[in-house]
This record gives sequence, structure tokens and C-alpha cells, in this order.
Amino acid sequence: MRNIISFVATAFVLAAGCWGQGGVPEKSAPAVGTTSQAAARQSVPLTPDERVTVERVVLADPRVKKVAGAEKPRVLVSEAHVDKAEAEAFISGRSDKAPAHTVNVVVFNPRTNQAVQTIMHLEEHRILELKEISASDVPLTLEDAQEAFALAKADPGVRRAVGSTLDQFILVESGSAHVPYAAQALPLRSSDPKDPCHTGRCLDLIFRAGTGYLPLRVTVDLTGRSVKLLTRDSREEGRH
Amino acid sequence: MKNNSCWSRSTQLLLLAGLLSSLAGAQATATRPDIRPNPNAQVVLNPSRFILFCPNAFTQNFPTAGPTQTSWLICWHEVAGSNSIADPNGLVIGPVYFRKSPSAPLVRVLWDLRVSDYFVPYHPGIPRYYDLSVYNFKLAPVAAADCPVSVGGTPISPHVCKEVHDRGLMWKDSGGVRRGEELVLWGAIDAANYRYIQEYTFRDDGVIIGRMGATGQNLPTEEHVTHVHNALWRIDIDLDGVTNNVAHLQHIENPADPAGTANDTSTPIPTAQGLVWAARAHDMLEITNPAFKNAHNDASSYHLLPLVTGGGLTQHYEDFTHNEFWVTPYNSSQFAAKNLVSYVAGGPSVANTDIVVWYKGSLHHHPRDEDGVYDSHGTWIGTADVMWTGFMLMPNNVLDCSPLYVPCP
Repeated sequence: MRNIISFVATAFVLAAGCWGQGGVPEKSAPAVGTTSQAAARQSVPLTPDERVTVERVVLADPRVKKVAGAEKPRVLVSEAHVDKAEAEAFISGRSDKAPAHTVNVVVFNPRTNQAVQTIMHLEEHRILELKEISASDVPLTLEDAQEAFALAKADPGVRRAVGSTLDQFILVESGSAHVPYAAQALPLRSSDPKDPCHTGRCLDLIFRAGTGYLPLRVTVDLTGRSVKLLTRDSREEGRH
Repeated sequence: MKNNSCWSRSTQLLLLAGLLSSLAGAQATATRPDIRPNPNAQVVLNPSRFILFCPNAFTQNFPTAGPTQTSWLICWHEVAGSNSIADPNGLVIGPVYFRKSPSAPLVRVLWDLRVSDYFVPYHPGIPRYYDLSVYNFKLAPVAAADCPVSVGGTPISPHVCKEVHDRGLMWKDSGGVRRGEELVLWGAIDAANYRYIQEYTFRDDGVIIGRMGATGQNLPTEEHVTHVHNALWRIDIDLDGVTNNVAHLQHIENPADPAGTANDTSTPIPTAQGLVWAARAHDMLEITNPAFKNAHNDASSYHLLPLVTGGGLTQHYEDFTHNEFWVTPYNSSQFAAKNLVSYVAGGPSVANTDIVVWYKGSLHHHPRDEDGVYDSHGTWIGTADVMWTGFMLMPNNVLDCSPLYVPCP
């Protein structure tokens, strides 16, 4: 088996030729026996099928169900992490077994502010670890930003400050193409225990029109469902 | 400048020899390329397996023209997920191997190098942004303008640029002069109004440099408010394998002592902890492997040195910012710099084990008119040029003599 793997993979190297030179490297090799490139991979995004399976397994766990509640929870899934010891054995040739992968999955209930984190064995569809975590340890997602943006747009003060162009603004995701009117989200934390954003899930929204930003910021506390408009003038007044 | 980053013909022939050896059922170790019998090596690399493991991997030989003297084998990938506390988004480097001479084996230096977080507190106390972990910012696109051929640039993905170019003087002495070369991989995190450049440099002399570049538009309503961009790197270093140790190196000198003497101290770090960097003591961490030595039987190591811009590394209210260096045992689920204090709690052993070192670099951004100005509608027009901070991993007794000088005596 080891020789077959070595044969096919080495042939792939030879076929790839000047691999890495002058452009995008060669794409994935075809599957080779039971140790395919997909199985042996280091750390890559899950396939859609894997993602569905991960969600199904995690959400079926009674301990997760208890936190998730009846409504659709937020499910945050990491990329597959390779087992380092098994990966070392594989790439050194000490083992033919493709390394195992784990996935870190966070399930968050935005209604109750409860969250649970699980580590799941990707290949065996098994939950290895599970613990409740604080809502402040749950990354904010595009869904959170969309919710914050909706709250901001419904706020009369924000509507007045941004003006008639407010409805032209589109909430853009990180890394997306340039649009003329872009609303962008920034995750916000406070070090002040009296500030709701010390433990609450807060986002700042900023508004880019063309190449410049409007002179305002909107802080949305998703936990407390509140909206606060900050303008340059109000910030300067607060500082004097 | 010629880009000599492909497998050489001789390497391919050696691979073919390995293939034939495999078909014959022989132990192919002696005939495979890059794997010379090394009595000290903890980990032997099988190139064909490595390709399955990391299809993005490439080699970079130096010098780029003429016979190869040193080489890097570099794996990299992008993370663009939705769980950036458990798995920070961005450009991830590793595993990385270095070969110090054409006849030497590839030696692993890194397993996984990435930015864990960017923490940006503003002087009034609020806002305080976690620009990587708490929101899932992703790498921005790179195009030809970012990564021009004229500087040795090649986009190797829609978000990552590879540059191979001159790095200035390598040495100059009475016998002559040599300019050095380097390979740079970079991507930029799109953090709304800001871009964080994640840059990793691999030099012809075995040095690795990690840097953060901060650029973009000042925060609306806070355009003139000073703030600090802290980058926190998680460096899963594996020096010739996973059995590593760390020591704290310091330069000790009393400026009031007329003798003018100084000495260096090396203090082993037996348990997980954080350490404050002291500029006048030239603080650095030394990572060793008890089995890894060079041809002179000198213990080989890599030194982790801060590359400080502006002379300072700030501390803030948050406890994870109170140290510049941290040492933790490897744990596959520990990626969040903001949880570093919990990672070192109880002082787990970091002696003769797989370790992770962390480094915090800070940029003090004092706004200036060069960052931008308001137009007549109160809209901010302008952009803040890139500021840099980072660290260096420098080989120490890894090579057997001066790299790219004359043949080792």
C-alpha cells in the first residue's frame, strides 16, 4: 500500500513539473487509493457535504439541543484541523493512515445568549469535547452584522444623520468587491465593566460613500437591542 | 531576476529514483531527495506524502541564479471561516523546512505560523476592537497592482502574493560584497476601514521575518484619536521536530560600572508563562532541540527577536497585553491570544516538549494630517500609509559557517 501511495504521489510531482513557479500552483491531485489528497490534507475548508454532516451531528446532541432551543441557532464551524501527531507520522512515511481531523463548532442561541463549543472528530462523526462558553467568546458573524444594520436603519436618529442615502447602503462582507455605498461592521468590546459592551455582543457600523467615510459611527448592542449614534461633534463634546 | 522556485531537474531525477526504489519494495529513504540520513533528525520528510498533505507547497532555492546553496520548502494556506477565535482567519504558514546546504537534509522550523489577533484600543478607553478574533474578517483580493512582476511578484491565490527579490546588502567586507535575496508571502486582512498586511519573509540566510503592516482610513468620528494596533502572533515552532526547549536570553550591563563589562544570560523556561520584553536587555527567546546540532557539534537554535517600530511595545488593561513573549505547550485547540492567561494557568511544563511561542508587537498610531483631512461635507478624505512591526526568527549555530560566503572550511 505504501509503495502504491508513493508511486502515484511521486508521479504527480513529476507531472506537476515546475510546481510553484510563475503562477498559481497545480490544483489538487486525483484521489490515490484510500489516501487521497482530500483525506491527507492539512487544514482546508469543509466541503458542503461535510458542513451539513457536522451541523447534523452537533445539533443532534442533547446537550447542544438544550442550548440551541427551538429556533434556528447560529452555528460557527472552523476549518478542519489536522491531528499533528498523525500528520507527522503520515508525512514522514511512518504511517500510511491519513491523519484525522477535528472541527471546532460553536452553537449560539441569540435569544438566550447561551453558547456551547464542541470539538468534533470529522471522519468519525463523533463529539470529542463539549463545554458551555460565554457569549463574549462567540465571534460575531455576518448574521449579527445584518441584524445590527437592520436595527440601525430602523433608528430615526441614524436615518436623520445618514440622510436619504441610507437605503442605498449595502452591508458588505469582509473581502468583498467595492460598492459605492458600503456599510461595514466592526466588533466592539469595552474594558469598563459598567459598559454593556463589556460582556454584551456589540458592533460598530461605519458608512463608506465612494472612497470616504461619513463622519459618524453607530454602536449597536445586540444583547441589549440598543442603538447609539456617534458623530464627530458628539465625540468632541464628550471629550471636552 | 530569475525565479528558481521549481524542483530542479536533479531533484526530479532523484524523485524518480525514489519511485523506482518504491516499486522495488526497498526502503527508499536513502534515495529520496531532501532526505539525507541525519542521526540527529527527529522527523524525516517524505516528499510525496508532503504533497498530499500540502498541495500548496513550493520550494525556493537561493541564490535564484547559479548553483543552489540554501532552500526553503514552504507550505501555506488561507483560512476564511466563521470561527476566528478557534481558527483565526488569514494567511497561515507551515509546515516550513530549511536546507542549509545542498548536501544537508531539510530541517523543519515551523509547523503553523499565523496572526492570532489584532487588538486595537483607543486612547479614550473605548472603542477597543478585536480585529481578527471577534469578527471573521477575511483576506482582501490581491491583483497585479499589489503584486507586480517588476518586483518579483506573483499572485499565488486570489488573496496571496509571493515576491522573490533582492533584500539589500547581505555582507560587505575587504574581500567583496554580496546582496541577499528573500521570498515574501503576504496577504491583507480586510478589516472594514483598515487593512492588516500579514507578511512572512524567508531569507536566503535562514532568517524568517513576520510583520504586520497597518494601513487604511482612520476610524470615523475618531480620525484624530491616538490608538495602538497590537498584533499577536502564534508561532508553533518545531525545530527539527517537536521536542523543543525555550530559554530567555538577556544582555546584562551596568552603565554605572566603569569596567564597562557586560555578559549574556540564558535562563531556561521550564513552565508556561509570559515575559515582558526589555529593550535595554536585548530580550529574546531561544528555541532549541537537544538533538539538533550543526557540524561543529554546537547546539542549533532559533532566536525570536522583536522588530520594534518607534521603540515601544505598549501594554493595556487587558491581561494578555501585559507580556510581549508567551510560551505555552502545544495544544491543538489554543489559538486565541486573548485567552493566553488561561493557557499558562497552572504552569504546565514546556521542557522537552512541543511548544508554541507567542509574540505581541505594537504600533502606536498618532494621527497626522498625512493620514487625511475632512472635505467641505465633513467626509474624511485620505489614507494612512503602512506602518510596520514584527519579529525575526534568526538561526543560531544552525548553519556551519557564514551563509553564501565561501565554502565552509
